[in-house]
Amino acid sequence: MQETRLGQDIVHTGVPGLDELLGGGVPRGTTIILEGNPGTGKTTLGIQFLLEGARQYGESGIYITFEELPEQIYRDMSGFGWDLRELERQNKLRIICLEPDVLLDQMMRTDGLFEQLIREIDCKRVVIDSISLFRTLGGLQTDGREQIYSVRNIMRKFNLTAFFLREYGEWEGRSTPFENYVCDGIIRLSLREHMERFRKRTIEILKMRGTCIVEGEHHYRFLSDGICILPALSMVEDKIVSDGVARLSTGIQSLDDLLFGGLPQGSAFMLDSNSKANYKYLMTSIYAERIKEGDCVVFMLSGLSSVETLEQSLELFGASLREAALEERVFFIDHYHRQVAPEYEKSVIYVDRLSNGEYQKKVYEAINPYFRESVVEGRRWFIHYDLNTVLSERGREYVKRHFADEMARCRAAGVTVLCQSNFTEIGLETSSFLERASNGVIRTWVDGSYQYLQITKSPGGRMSAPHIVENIRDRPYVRLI
Amino acid sequence: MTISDQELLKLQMECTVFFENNPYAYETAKGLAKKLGRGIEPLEIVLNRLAAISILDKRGEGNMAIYSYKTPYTQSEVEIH
Amino acid sequence: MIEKSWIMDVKKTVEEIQQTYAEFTRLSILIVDGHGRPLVKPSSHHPFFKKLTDADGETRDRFWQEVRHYAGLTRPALCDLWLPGVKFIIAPFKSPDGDAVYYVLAGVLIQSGTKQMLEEEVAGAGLYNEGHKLLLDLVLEAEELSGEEAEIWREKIGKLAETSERVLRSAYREAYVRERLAELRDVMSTTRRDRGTVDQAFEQFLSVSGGTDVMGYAEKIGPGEYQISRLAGEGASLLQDAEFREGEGFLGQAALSDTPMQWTDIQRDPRASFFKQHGVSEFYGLRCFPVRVGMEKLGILFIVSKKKVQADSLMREFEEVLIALVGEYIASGTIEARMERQIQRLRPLMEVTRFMISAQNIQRIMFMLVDMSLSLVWNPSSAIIVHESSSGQKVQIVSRGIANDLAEQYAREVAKRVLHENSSVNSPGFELSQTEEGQLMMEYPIVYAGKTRGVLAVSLSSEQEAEECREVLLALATMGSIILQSVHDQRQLGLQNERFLRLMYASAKQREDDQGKKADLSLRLLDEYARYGGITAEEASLLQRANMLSVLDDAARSELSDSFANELEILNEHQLMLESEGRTGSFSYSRPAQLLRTVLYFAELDEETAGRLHLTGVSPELFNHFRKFMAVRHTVQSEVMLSDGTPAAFNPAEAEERGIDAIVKEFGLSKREKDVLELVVRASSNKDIAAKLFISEHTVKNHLTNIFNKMSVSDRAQAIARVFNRGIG
Repeated sequence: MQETRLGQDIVHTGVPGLDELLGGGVPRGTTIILEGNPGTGKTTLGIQFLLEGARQYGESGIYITFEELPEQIYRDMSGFGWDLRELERQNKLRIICLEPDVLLDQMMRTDGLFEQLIREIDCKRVVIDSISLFRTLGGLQTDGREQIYSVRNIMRKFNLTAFFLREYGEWEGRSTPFENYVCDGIIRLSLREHMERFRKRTIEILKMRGTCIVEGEHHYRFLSDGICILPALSMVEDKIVSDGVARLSTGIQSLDDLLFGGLPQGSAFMLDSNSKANYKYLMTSIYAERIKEGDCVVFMLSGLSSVETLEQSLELFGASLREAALEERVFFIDHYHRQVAPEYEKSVIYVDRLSNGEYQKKVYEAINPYFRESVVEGRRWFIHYDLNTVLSERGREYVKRHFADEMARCRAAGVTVLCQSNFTEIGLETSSFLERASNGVIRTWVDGSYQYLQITKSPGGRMSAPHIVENIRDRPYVRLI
Repeated sequence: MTISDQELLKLQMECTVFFENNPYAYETAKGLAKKLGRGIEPLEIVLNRLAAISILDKRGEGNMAIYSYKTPYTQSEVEIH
Repeated sequence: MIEKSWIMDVKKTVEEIQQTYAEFTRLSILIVDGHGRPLVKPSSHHPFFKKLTDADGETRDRFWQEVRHYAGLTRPALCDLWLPGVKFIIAPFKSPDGDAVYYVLAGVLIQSGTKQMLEEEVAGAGLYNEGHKLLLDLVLEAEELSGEEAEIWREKIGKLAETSERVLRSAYREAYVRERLAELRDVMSTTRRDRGTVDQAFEQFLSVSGGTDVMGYAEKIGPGEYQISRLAGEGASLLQDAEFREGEGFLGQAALSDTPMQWTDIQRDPRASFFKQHGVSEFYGLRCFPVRVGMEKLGILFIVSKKKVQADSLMREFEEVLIALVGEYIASGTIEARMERQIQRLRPLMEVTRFMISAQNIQRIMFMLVDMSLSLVWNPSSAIIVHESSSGQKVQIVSRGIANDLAEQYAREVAKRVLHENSSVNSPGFELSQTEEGQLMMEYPIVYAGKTRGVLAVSLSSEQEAEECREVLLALATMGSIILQSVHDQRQLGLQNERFLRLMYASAKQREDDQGKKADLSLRLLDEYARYGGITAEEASLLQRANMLSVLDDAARSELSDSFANELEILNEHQLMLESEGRTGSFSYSRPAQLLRTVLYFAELDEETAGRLHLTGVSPELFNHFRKFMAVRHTVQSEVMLSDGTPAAFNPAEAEERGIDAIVKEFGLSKREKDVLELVVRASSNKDIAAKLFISEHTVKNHLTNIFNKMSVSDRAQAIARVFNRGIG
């Protein structure tokens, strides 16, 4: 596993649902056009981008408006419970209302107002509302391209991630506006009649450099605390194959369907089950697929599952653990120092009687040589992470301190992780934390005489409906109805 | 048209209150005229006056001049000895 | 002369006097102007005198031809007219304006023993018909007089002339003054209607005053400095805006004097060079009049006369009156302008006040006071406000236009001088002081809550300026004091109420242990959630109060309903939410109520069991946000110390002590009961009280029952409420 710089290059918008559409966020320093008709919520989304930046990521922002009065913005946004004045007091936000020419004049000066402000609040995000007014600056004959180009370059120079708001439709029927070429992305908000009586708000990402996006129109809503984007189910499904992320089949067709093909490579999924629920088939099916696919797999053995029991279960699914061990692509982390057959000896990492630091070091050193080599060969890695074991052996504090970090490293290295846990046992506090640190959560529980399964969190941001888990006679022995 | 001192003073108060209320506002005379619904010319006089008595910061000149509130010096921990 | 009723009165007076003399002398008397026109009705029924007063006629012409021979007379004289021996007294006197000679004519006088002879002479004289007859009648009617008697009559008629002169002159003066006063009134009323025409008014004053050549006003523009600001008359336009200092030249000398001054024949006087330098080529005399308001000198009004004029004393007198009026006019104009300026400054203060009241934040109010004081002064250089800080040994300052270290140094000095030593209330007013750098500071105390708690100081370039703005700055400082008082009161009230609520809560908690624990946890959660950034500190304390109220019984709650109306409203909503839990339908609850519901829900949860994912009536976003917070709160919690929320500024112990003393007195509590009550108020349980007082719990209960009975309250909460109310009341 290696250090990643991935997280530092991506700017999470923090707008609910939007980052999912953007494949996590937008690359830092990009300039994105946010267009839409009046009333579609450009300002709200723009402010939300800055606000969430400040609240969630500690990134300050500047909102530049040529049209609205700041008082209007303060008032409108207080409707979402956003106290922009307070953010200004904390130096997390500035709202600047100036004429375009004056702003540009200041931007072009060395140590002008703009530069000073960026320094003053350590600004990372900028919203300009709207660039349409730059068009009038260069005189009638031009379309303000020089001005827009300059501003875009200034954003880039200061490594600012910027939203340029634009009235949609102003260039309709004309040739594609210049800024579409110089900006890195275009997001369009629309409001259209829907089924005669309802109006439908949709958001669409038309272009985005440097990140995978979920195409198509997605609904968004104004909630009491801002805009929330609901990634469209059908669209996500349609695009699944071509979104560039490999899917690892679970071996269960109906579950793959819910997951749009399987677990996304490089994701960390949580399987939350209570003790009554039979999750064994689900888990084993997933491992078996990995082994059959020739992937490298790390198992964390629990007190109940030994290498032996694992071998037997996998055999049911037609996967040979023994062969994989010989190919040096399965590893076992054992906290209980149990004897294994000789062919597995090289694959077991004994971690009993180790401090947490020694434990981490030992696992890392044991796996790392294989990992480097296999990645060069193009092999995928899969980790089974038994949280119940780690919690009991390493302690809650260890999990809290390291889990998110470990998951992030795996994600960066393209390693797929399936964690097994029991949220009810772990408790609300820790489980919420674990849930947040994971990309997806598959929950299965027993209620009455049925076992249910539901995907309560996924990288695409959608939840599935609860399904009944039905046992069947043949592999993979379960299916979802 | 000349403006009486009285009107100017009133405007000056209005501006002071505006900037105290919006300590992070950056305004041109034109922009502020629009916001307060006042004439630009008297506003320019008043803004320059406020800049002269260091209530406002002024950067740039003429139409391009930007005014902003200058936070007074505050020190809440002066020891009396 | 103007024909007005009062002039008729004057004529009557003259007639009366004339009549008296006529009766006394038994002569016919006639008073005429230099052209022989009668000024009053003659005192005679004699046809001859009638003829003399006719507009024309042979008798009149002939008679006046005779009189003209005596034109050069300066004293009363006995003159022979028409025939030697027919004598008239002619007494000249000066016309009221002094330019002409008027006459008193009295006749006819005949020397004793000559009547017979004169009769014959008249008969023999070759006179025209009418004249012959009239003269004869005169002679026949006339009494014969001795030379001595004639001499006496001459003197008497002379007296009559003098008296007439005096009466007429005073009438003339009165007329003159009245006339000009009327003009002046017109001028005044126009100028008052329209202040814009001050210079025009000045010009009018000049024309009204008549003989003056150049009139000017030098205004005091600084200590010892004057500038000529108004000017009327010809040939002096270069004097406009000319400046001089006290003591320099005539005007400068006048500036040092408090009384009018006058110089004549000044062409060669070196002190007049000021006028020469400013292009005044022709001048003879100068009069100067100080213009003042109270003791304050505003300027000098001056009149330059170009030539020597034989000025009549009347004129001079009037001019002085006029000048005084002009001075008053200027003074009142200056005062009015000053007031106007102050009103100008005060008027926007109203706006500012509204804004400041809404601020409710001492620092912001201080900003405003500093900014506004700079705005209200014409030539400000700096302003600073020094305010005591809560710790007492320090002060906080807000300043503009003054170097930071100097500001702090000044603040220390002021604090020692004004804040420290003096704990009593200063009379509202201001003081002028000087900083160590010699800067003139106008200082206004900021007084509230019974103490001088700060000083608003504005530096000024001159005392003159101080004079101008002291009222408006006083208004500002007073306003600031009042607003700070209101902020202070509001805080104090809030603190007292909250403290009170905490005590009630602490006492109520003991009854219901589970609920108490849950409520305590909720209080902590709210503190933490505020630090986490989920809610503002204000929201947190609002919800904490609501939470504490929820534990109280209805009676205690209703006792507090006035002070905590908002909180109770939230509690009501919360109750509705509890009742509607699980129902479907659309609900709309306020954000605080939703928050309270969520917090109390989580506080009630056993942390180790997963709870609901949704609460009816609570927005999912709000709920999830709090849920996230709950997930991470342990890490947050370890980083911070929880405050008990009792602000330091309020001294609850004192209030309690006062309250208990009052209660003990009022209800006659025993020493032991007092001890128990003290512990009750400090929220001790019966067990604690027993332990502390070395008595059994049973005895504690007995004491409590007695105390409650004496105080006519039913439980601890009410008892605490009583104590507290006495303490703060």
